Amino acid sequence: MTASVEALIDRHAVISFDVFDTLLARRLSRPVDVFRHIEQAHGIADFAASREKAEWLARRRFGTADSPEVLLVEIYDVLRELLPGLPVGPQDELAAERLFLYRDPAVVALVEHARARGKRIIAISDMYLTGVEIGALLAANGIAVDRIYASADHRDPALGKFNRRIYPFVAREENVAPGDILHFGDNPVSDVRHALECGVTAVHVRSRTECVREAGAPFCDLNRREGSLADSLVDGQIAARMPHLAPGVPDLYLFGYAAAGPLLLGFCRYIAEMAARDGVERLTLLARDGYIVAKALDILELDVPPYAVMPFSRRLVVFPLLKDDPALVDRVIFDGLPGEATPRAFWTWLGLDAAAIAGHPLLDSPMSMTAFKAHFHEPLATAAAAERTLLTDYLDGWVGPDPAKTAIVDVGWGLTSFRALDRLVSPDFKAYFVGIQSGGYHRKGLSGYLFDRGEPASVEQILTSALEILELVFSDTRPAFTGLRRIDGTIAPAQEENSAGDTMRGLAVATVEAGALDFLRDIRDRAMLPRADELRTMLRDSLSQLAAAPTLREFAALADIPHAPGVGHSQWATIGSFWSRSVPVEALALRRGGQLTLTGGESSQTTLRATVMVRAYEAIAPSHLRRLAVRPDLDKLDWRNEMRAHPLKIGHWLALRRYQRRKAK
Amino acid sequence: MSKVPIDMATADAGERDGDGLRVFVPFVNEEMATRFFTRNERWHGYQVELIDNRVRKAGLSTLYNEIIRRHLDEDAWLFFVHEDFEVQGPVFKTAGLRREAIYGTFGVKMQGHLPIGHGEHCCSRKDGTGGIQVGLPISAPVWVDTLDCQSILLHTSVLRNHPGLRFDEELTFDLYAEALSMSAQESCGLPVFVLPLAFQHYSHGKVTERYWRGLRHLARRFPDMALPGACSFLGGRAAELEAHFTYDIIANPASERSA
Repeated sequence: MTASVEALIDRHAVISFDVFDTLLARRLSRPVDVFRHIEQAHGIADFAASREKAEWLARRRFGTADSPEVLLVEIYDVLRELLPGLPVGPQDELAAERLFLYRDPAVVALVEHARARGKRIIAISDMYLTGVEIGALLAANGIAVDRIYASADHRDPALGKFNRRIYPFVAREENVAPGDILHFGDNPVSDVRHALECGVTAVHVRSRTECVREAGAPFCDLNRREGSLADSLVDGQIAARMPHLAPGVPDLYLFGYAAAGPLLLGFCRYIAEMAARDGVERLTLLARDGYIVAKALDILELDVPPYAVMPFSRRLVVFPLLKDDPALVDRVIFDGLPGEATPRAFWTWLGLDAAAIAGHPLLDSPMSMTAFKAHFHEPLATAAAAERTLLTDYLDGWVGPDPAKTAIVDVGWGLTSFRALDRLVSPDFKAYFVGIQSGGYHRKGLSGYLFDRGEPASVEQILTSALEILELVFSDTRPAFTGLRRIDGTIAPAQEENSAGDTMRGLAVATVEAGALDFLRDIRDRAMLPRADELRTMLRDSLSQLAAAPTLREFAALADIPHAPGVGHSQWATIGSFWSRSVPVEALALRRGGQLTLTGGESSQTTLRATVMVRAYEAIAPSHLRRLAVRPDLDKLDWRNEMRAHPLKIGHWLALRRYQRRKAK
Repeated sequence: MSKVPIDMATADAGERDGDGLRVFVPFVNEEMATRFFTRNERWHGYQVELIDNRVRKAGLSTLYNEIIRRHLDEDAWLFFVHEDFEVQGPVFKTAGLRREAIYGTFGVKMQGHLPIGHGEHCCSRKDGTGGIQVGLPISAPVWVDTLDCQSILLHTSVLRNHPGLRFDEELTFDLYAEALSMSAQESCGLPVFVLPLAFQHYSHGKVTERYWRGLRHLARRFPDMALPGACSFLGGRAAELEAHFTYDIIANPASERSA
């Protein structure tokens, strides 16, 4: 609250507030979506449009040009003509309103300030609700006012803000001069212009939805379209939270709140729906994607079978098949490693026990991948065979005695890991993925949420160009799992050490996760309100929009995050190095009003990077640290040499020194 | 404005209890009117009045208003139908219909930003060729924003209760049903419905300069309205709807309009 507003309050005897979109806001971007909710909740076809039509007709039937106000009961009289046998009434609508209404904290702070100064507080509303009905809604949200003036209570003679007449009436009733009244409201005409014309001091209050729109915060407009209750609810939730206003909030948090959170909501709803349909009795969430899914399920408390996160990785499940399916291991494991390195490095990236090759004469001799596989064929085969035995027992424990009653949850794409999994355990279990790519592994019982083997083709095509963004949502800060070990008779997966790249990525992951989980906490009570199909459509649209036409600031927020595509995190790149190839510069920032406009083709990413002025990722990690983290030769660098070679790049060698000292510990 | 109590018609359409259905068909093509009404067994038992308009060539809205004046003191359902309207199934029952409303057999309502026709029927050329199915099928009365001119059903009581509710004689052959729909809603707060009926409308054609003149007239008469019609948006604020959707139908192809 600013000092000037406080001073205004101090100078007036009566402090007046508009009610809807001022004292009370809705967790919906459009008020009429309350009707859409009733339509869906009660299964009344065409209710929303009919309710709007009924109000329009009622104003013309029961009102006059001079007094167009109507009552909610009159609207429902007309509505029953349009929809004979209507099973809901005015009380159901008021109940629906209560579901979405909340007190606007910024405006309520004004109320509390005024109250503390001993001012009289009133509410003035132009609405089809009576003062009693409005009072009940205010009370339900903990707002007490001294008197409510509602146009619905003053239809003869017509008194309303719309025709200015209510302001002199209020002044008389309050026994003050109009100039002693200070009115806050969101309507620039009826709340502000008309009040001022009557001598009342008026302050325009922008609605929260307007505030978010005008702020132009990244990711916050992704779900903004005139589509469904799902769009409205998510957009309304963002307006309710206004995450961009929190001090020091990085843009990645906004990505988490406005994009990752809704995605997790949709995916968790999908898991619950599919599990119920398939009669699944236990959910196995594959690590590391499963960690965030488990957290989301914990928050949402959906009706799902018991779930647990299973330590898992591509490496863990594919490498043991070295003998069974060497081509798969080549494609999934070895092709993702650098072409040349020392056997020790290859061995480490594979997460294998160094003792197995200790003392080998070629251990530190750089060689090609092909040579490594030839020279170390025996120890590799032995390690794989040992792991395979352990892996079968390990997986049986997770899939359970009746695989048909188990569903596995994973992020998906080409499902190579799944192909391996099916070779190791009975392929009867169901599996739910965020997306399944066309041409990948498939069998009955596997289903994708956002896209499923080319359906819908456009969504798969666009999202495939930015899968790294989706993977960021489902990432975790914990290290990846490598091989299996038997310790004291128990099979336990081993975890690799987090590298510098992991640590840097972890900062981003934690920020995104914080935003996503905050969104889920905020929307938990209304998580089941949007229809599942509408939610999925919204996510397909919004994520496609982000993938194909990010704004400059959105691209900048995500592009510099380290991303390791291969096994063992042997090679690092950035999300932008994959994503930017598919995003023409001309497509950036062309998103307007929910419409996606794609123009142009390949363009210079150098130009793009030069024009990207806002690097939100810098809010959580300085640039020299990010550059350092993705260098493939990081372990060969020595900070002293770097200091001598680049004495003025202080941040660079200081970061390197810090990293090497910490690693040495 | 008085609120008329709901009074249900108690008789079926074919019954002669004072609330029966009176059908009025102005024609210039006698063969068509005879074939579709006199010889159409679906209309047997109903009071169908063919009105020869070949010499007089009066505007349909003028003829309809004359009929209203003639029958205003009766209690009857007046059904104004084009000569090229062939009923192919049982005629709807008027029992149970609210008198305080306007009815037709094809109309349009907005669904989001899209105008959607209701009252599925075949629309063909005068010779019956080139038929296409138009409109969503309905099985019960469905409210719409505006009716098409092919058929309009009114009870005389609504006309008595709302003396200003008449056909706009400025609109001779086009848009008078739309104007009546807009007037009923805007001035009286009356709902507009489409009734289920199987029929074919032999009316393929294109909008003419007369139609565009009619649109301009509607925009002047209803400056604050924006509603969908069968061939275009209507009212003074039609451009707001046009911003989201452009009509591109046989009668009003976008290509010819933009050219």
